[in-house]
Amino acid sequence: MASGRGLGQWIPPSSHLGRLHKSQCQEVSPGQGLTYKGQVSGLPTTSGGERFQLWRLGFCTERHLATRLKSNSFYPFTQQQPGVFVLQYYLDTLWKGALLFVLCLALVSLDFVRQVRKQETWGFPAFGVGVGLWLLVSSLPRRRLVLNHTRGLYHFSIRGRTVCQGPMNLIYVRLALSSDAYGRCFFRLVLCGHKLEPLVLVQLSERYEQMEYLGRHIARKLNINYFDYLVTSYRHVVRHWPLGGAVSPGLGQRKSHMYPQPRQATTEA
Amino acid sequence: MRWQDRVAVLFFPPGMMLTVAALVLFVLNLGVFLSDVNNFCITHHYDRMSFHYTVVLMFSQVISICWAAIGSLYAEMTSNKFLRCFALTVLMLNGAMFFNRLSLEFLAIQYREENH
Repeated sequence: MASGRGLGQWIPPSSHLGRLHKSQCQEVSPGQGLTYKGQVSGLPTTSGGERFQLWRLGFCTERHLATRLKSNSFYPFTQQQPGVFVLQYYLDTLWKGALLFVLCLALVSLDFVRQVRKQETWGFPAFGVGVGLWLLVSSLPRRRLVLNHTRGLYHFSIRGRTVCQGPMNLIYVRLALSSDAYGRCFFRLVLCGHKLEPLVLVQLSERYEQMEYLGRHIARKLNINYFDYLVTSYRHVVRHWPLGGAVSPGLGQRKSHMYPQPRQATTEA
Repeated sequence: MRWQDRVAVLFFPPGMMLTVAALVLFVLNLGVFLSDVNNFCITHHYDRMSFHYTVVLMFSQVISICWAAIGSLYAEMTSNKFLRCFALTVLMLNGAMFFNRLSLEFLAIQYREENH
């Protein structure tokens, strides 16, 4: 598992690498902007401790992530055995759905917005109750992500039911860029993978070097790939290649024969 | 993942979730629309129509069109033909329901209660 660095192109795994490895993956929910709660599971038969610990990660800067990394060097994950990392979490739509549900239920039961100018408007809080309940029930099952380096697989399950299992090159840490109308760049550190729910580690930060350092540190500790925000970049760190090795279609070939050979030059002269 | 497991842990792709929510809203709006048409054309009980719920109905129809559109967008990004057809069908049904409701409100505008 040598870490290689070179001009590489980040190809979204779902395009062709997913078909290369016939993993049992189904549709996943991208773009949900998750924060997550980790679990300290020192024992194999654990039932979890601080499952809600990382919900506040969504409001934290990279400095908080760095502080947490000092105490637990595999920070989102915990190390069960050497080479096996486990993360158990709930989606953040759990508390958002619960809040919406409780608020709208209170509005409906107190008859607060029952009627406005002869129009019945209790439908709005009732709508909110339905949506909040839906969000709540869909986020109740606990998610579990296991990185197993001894077998070279990652495993994602929800309440014991396997969703997806694939090779280690399909899970990675990525720096994502979003910019505002004035051209200011904001970076986000995301742990994502093929058919996985993306986990946001640091939400919005302008400091590129610190974010890159943190992303590389996390990827090194967990021994997974790290990708820069650009698709083609020198700053990708690829530790696991897809089946097919380093002869990957995304690698730029170095142009040989840029300059004429000495023998040709003398003949042309 | 088998579909039984998906239903058991309520894990659906977000496009699928939104499309199903739009379908549920469509069914609700269809029920209200059919009852309104029944009261307007057949039984002529104009006081039992849904004039007091117009704001909520319009809101729910627009939201269901938006959700169906986003769900269709997610479905287009997958290469699953069934999902794409399903999402597009739900979007077209919701659009048609919106225009039906608009026409009915236009026809029934004379029958609204007037308060001066």
